[in-house]
Amino acid sequence: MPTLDQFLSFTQSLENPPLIFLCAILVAAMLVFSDWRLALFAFAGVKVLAGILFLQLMPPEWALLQWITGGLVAIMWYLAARKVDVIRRQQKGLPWWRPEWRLNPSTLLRLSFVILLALGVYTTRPYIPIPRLPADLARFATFLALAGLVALGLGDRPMRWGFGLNLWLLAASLAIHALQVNEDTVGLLAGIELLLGFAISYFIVVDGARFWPRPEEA
Amino acid sequence: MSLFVFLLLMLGILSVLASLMRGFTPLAGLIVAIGLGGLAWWLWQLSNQETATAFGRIIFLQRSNTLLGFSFLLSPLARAPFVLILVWGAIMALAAGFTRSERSLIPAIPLLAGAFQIALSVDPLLWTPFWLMVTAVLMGIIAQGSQPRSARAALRILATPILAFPFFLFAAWVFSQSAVAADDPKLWANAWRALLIGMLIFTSPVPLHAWIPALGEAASPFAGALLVGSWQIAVYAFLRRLLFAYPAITEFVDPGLWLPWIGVIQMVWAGVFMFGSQRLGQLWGYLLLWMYGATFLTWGLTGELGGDALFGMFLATPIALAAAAAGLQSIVHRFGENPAFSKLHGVTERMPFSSLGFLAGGLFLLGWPLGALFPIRLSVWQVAEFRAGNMFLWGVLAWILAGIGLIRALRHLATPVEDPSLPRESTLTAWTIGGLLTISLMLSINPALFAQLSERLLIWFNTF
Repeated sequence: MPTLDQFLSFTQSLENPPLIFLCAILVAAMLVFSDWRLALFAFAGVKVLAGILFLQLMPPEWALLQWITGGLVAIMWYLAARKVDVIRRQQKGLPWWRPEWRLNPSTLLRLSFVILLALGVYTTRPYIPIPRLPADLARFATFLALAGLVALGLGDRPMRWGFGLNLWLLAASLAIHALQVNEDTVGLLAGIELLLGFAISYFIVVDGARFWPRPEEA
Repeated sequence: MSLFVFLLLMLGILSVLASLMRGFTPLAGLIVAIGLGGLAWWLWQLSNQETATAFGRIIFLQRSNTLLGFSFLLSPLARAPFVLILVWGAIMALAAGFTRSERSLIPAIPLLAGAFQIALSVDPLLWTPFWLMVTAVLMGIIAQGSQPRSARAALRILATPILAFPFFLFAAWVFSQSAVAADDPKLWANAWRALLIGMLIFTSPVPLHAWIPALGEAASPFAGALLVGSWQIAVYAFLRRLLFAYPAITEFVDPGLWLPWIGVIQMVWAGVFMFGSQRLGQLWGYLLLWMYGATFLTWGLTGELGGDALFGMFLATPIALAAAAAGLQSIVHRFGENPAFSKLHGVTERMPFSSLGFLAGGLFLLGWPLGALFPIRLSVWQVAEFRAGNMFLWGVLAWILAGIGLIRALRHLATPVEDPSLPRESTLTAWTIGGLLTISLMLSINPALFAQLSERLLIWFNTF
């Protein structure tokens, strides 16, 4: 297990493009996967990579706050989605391990939207010149904001909206932290993320309970 | 004790009391209505003195509170919209209590008022958007209600303040750097643009309007009415404070131009969808959107000169809105949430007051004669016709489409009874709707009934 110093020196050797590319793949996975476990795993991956990217903008103890807030949000959403899923599976008599990967029209539609987004970003290279933010990170922030807006248009399921709003906040965090890094701003943005995480986890339960075959028994 | 803390405490106690009584909804509604109405009345009585007394304690009216770096002060400027929100809450709680609304709604009303109180009591540029975001979370939970249902409305409520917040954060940072304007004029201009975009997002322009129709379809009627109404008041107060605090924004775009257009587009959009609606909840949601747009149209067209009319409108709207919501609540109770028009048979026969409440309340909201809003809407149309012919024509189109939408609903509600076991409406509901419609009629006959109230509120609102 590397120490924090070893880890930080390792991150300095990492180049931005591969990190950003990996992050973009994970963002696409978040938006496309219908299985909540895989989507949540991709979300956790995005937050880990975002923490590493933030090391260029702020001290490590604050940059790695992305890991903590992302981790807490992911745990909240995991517990909420798991509760909904466990009861639904119990009532339907489905074993917990059987994956429910579906390639239904809805998934295909999400996939086509994400491909369109990727093609659009690749060909037009949209770029908002955010002050004091390096160009590659500014381009990445623009992509995150666009992906967040696309996620909001992909349906009315709470976790996907959570992903969308979280991507928007991540893009905003990159833009804001390039301008100012102090405990108020870092705390404020982390607080908003946690608040959003709490609200979405509640909505995951109350929205998901509609699909229980016998909600009165739960 | 400061006024801010006192009011928060009272609202908290009221919410707990209503929670304890939630099993008996009319009593809970009555408690909340009396409590909120009493607080509004007590605030109304306060003059410009330094202190007041309540329950044997001295309340310092000008004292601010600091907590976690936030500074809270319920200034007279914030007091005016807060009183309006209390009045809305009291009317909705009373009507909801008497019409079998969801049990979770009534205890949440004081909490919602408390959340808006906090949002109105902080620095407008950065912290009001932040606290409105917190309020939106509470609004989402209220919209979701106490039963498993689609979270569409709740999720969409969250979108507006979260999308807008980064723009305010950016603008606040730039404005706090006094040297930036000289060094980097482009950054300074971008900050103004960001502020304008944030403000625009808060007005929920099309296509960000979707949370309002969603509330009609996926929330209880009273929750939808209260959430849209109180949010509208808070947003109006917030945007107006920003326009006064940062007047240079008018150099970029004139609010007298964009505000009414935002309102007209919302109204036309709502009118088109009301005209084509196939479900009662859908019709209700777009009626709320129409009302929302009409407020921005009124504000944008009349500006500061129309402050009186705007406050009069905020005072009269909940009466028509509560009548419509009570009627819809009663129908929904029999036919299920967001019923299709094709399923509604015999409603006017078995539930005449509920049908009347929904349709008359809806038409009164549009500004039809004999309704509380008729004089205000009429004067707005006159101003629009005089000042902006295009807006007037589009607005009238929206008005006609929305009216036809409601008349189409009447055609479906008036079909013969198919299910002989369809129960009749409750007497309490009928009396509630009858009372609200009578008050609405009285206001249309004598629009000056609220004149003194709106004048005082406007004086507070102009105290910077």
